[in-house]
Amino acid sequence: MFLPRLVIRNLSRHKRRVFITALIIAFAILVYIMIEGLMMGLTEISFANIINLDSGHLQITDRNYFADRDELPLKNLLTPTREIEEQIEATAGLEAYTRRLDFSVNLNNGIDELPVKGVGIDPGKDPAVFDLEKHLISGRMPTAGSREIIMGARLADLMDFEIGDYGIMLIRTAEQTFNTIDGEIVGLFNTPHPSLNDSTVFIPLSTAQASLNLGDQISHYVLRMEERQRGITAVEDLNPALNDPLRAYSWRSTSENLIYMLELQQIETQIVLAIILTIAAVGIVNTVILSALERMEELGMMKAMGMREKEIVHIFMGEAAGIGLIGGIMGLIMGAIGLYIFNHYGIDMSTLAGGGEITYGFPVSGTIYAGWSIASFVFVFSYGLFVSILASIFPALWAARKDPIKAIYHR
Amino acid sequence: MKFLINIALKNMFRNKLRTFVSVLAIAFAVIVIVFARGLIDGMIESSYSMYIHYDTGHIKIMDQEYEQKQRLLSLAYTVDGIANKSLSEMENELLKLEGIEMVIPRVKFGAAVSTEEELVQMMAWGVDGQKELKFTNLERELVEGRMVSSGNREVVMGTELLRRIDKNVGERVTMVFNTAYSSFQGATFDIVGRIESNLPLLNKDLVFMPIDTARHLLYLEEESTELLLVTDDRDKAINYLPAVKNYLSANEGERYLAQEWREGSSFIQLLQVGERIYNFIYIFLLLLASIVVINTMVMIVNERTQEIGMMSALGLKKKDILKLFILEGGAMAVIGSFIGSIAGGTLTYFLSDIGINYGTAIEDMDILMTTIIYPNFKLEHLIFGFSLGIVITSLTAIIPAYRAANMDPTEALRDI
Repeated sequence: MFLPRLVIRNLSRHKRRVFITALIIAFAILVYIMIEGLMMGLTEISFANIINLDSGHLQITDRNYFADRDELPLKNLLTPTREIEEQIEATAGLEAYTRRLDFSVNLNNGIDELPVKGVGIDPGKDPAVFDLEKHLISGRMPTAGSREIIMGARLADLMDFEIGDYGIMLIRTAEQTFNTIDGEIVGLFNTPHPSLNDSTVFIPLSTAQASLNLGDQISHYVLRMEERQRGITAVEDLNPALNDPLRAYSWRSTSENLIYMLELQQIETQIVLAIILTIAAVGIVNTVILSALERMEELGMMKAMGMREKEIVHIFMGEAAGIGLIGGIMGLIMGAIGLYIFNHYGIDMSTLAGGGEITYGFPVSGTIYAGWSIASFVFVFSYGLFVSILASIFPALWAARKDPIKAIYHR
Repeated sequence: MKFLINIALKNMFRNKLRTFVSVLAIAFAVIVIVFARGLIDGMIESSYSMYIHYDTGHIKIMDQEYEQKQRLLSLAYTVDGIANKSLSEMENELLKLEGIEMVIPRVKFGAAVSTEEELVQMMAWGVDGQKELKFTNLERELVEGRMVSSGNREVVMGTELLRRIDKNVGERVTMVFNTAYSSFQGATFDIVGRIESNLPLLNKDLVFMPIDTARHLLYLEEESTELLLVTDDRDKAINYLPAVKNYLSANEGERYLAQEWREGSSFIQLLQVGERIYNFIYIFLLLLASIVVINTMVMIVNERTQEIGMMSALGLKKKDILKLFILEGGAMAVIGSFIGSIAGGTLTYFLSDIGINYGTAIEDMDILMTTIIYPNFKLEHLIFGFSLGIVITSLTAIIPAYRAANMDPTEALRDI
């Protein structure tokens, strides 16, 4: 118990110095927690939006289709069979499933034309899987078998459409012939998923299939599971059961780009943390050197009285750990307060974008809230502590190796 | 003063290790600042020039209605002359205005190519090939073939777009589009060039064709969807804007909108806010680094309490003691900032050739930014980091120096 007591006493000799050095570490932790919290919030909301509005927890589709899915092709579609549906129904943790058909549409308002994505939905089953209905701001969902369509309020605004208007949808069938659907707009939605609002039109599945001359083919099944994690585990259960070209894809594989972007963001956060902590490390080195210089005579005396070099090194490392601890605790408290303020007010995505409509590719709009994670608190706290101790080793060795006689003779 | 400088320098060398660590802290912060500034400058510069080249020009003239509907690529709201003058007369008159060096007409419309499997959507631009080459960086990106020349039915496309429609330079392609009268038509073009660019827009969405061909096919003779004005200096564009606006309103051109490049995109405005925010981040970083210097200085002051007492007893004024310590802190700041700016500059210089690849992360964003960002090496950034380092560190050195200066000589002398 002798060394720890010595460490604590030494730390309290220069309270101000200890405090401001700890402050650097505290700032590093604060910045990390804030950025990480914001990113976590953004991630969480992004995935929630993608799952609830775009990809569901799990998709079953032809693997050749999946590779080209962004181009909305009409080949490699799948024909629903009882067998596939029985397999889907047998999946553990399934809540609901639906069929969808994605196709490419040129939406025409009589003057201008805009390429958008058309999605054929099963009006009976779709609401059990997707949240679209909750985001309707006016009108209603299309009814099965009708030529009714719904679209984002922003898209309607751009094309001067109102509820009750007819949107002419120019499509190309699987046989390369052109066809049109006169869709009556019966509902407008405003979802938190920007690309859905800007460029997607929903139409009853049977109408889409008939107009595209596709029989009962669909592009994919979408499954909703009891919870998100199930979507990933169910892929492994489903894949061996499905016949070859068909595959199951979880929400993670359908949002590869987003995941890549988040990883990149993660690296950037780490770089910021590393920069601030490097400055903190220099601060720690400086503090240890300063206290060693100040205590030269004391150290000489201790060594003369039989204290070993190792113990002196431990004292200084202990002091650095103390500073790291103080800084860490300050940083965690500051970070928690900061996150609390974040979450109390929320951040409007448009302020981050300078009032514009830019979302940096994140499928998020409106107000976002930061996420909390004990793991990131623990990580950054131990990281700060580790860096403090590591930084102190060399100056501590330097101090401990001083010759006792010279040290006492310091002045 | 010379005397004080001498003492300050001599004092610095009393404990070299201590000085070295403080200098190191400042140097590191300055390295980060110089490099970060270079990187951000590189990013912002490239975004600005992308927006200017492929969206806004220095000043953009278009129909008021068109501004809201740019995404639609509508042909219903065109620039088709002013008062009773035709478009080419209007262009000539604009060219006579002060500072305007070039008037670039563009006709933008939506087109599609039908392949066996799908209908590939693209954005077609009717352009004046020579003017585009002069104004944009297309020449460097045109990796195969040549730019379109007027009068011919020919197109230049991006590499990714060519891959999607499965064609090569030298082959022919049939495109379908809607004319200004909303009739659906098709035309066949020779592919005469291929563009390979870091900018996703150029690589996978755009197809260039001669403007007269586009006008002819769309029934838009003497019309453009927009006019881009190029001035002699983009920073002066804001000064030339009033003359352009005057010209428009003097010729009954109220339906036209003249926009400076900065207003054209919310992303540019965002970058400008970002630039300012980053300057605060730099200051914050240096403040953290100068904590190390403050620590050192506090210790120095403590160590030399007796010395200070003696000096003030011998007649050195408070002001001089203050100066002495600020000079000592300042000297550390100068050395640290110098080393930092040189090292940061070297780092930026090397990376400015290699670039930092953001890969596909940017492709999905609805902004014009290249996927590889080249930090911009400029002496300006070195000087910025150097001066900011000196100013901030010297300012923070005032705190301990003030403490030293305010010591009572009798008390200080007695301190052991």
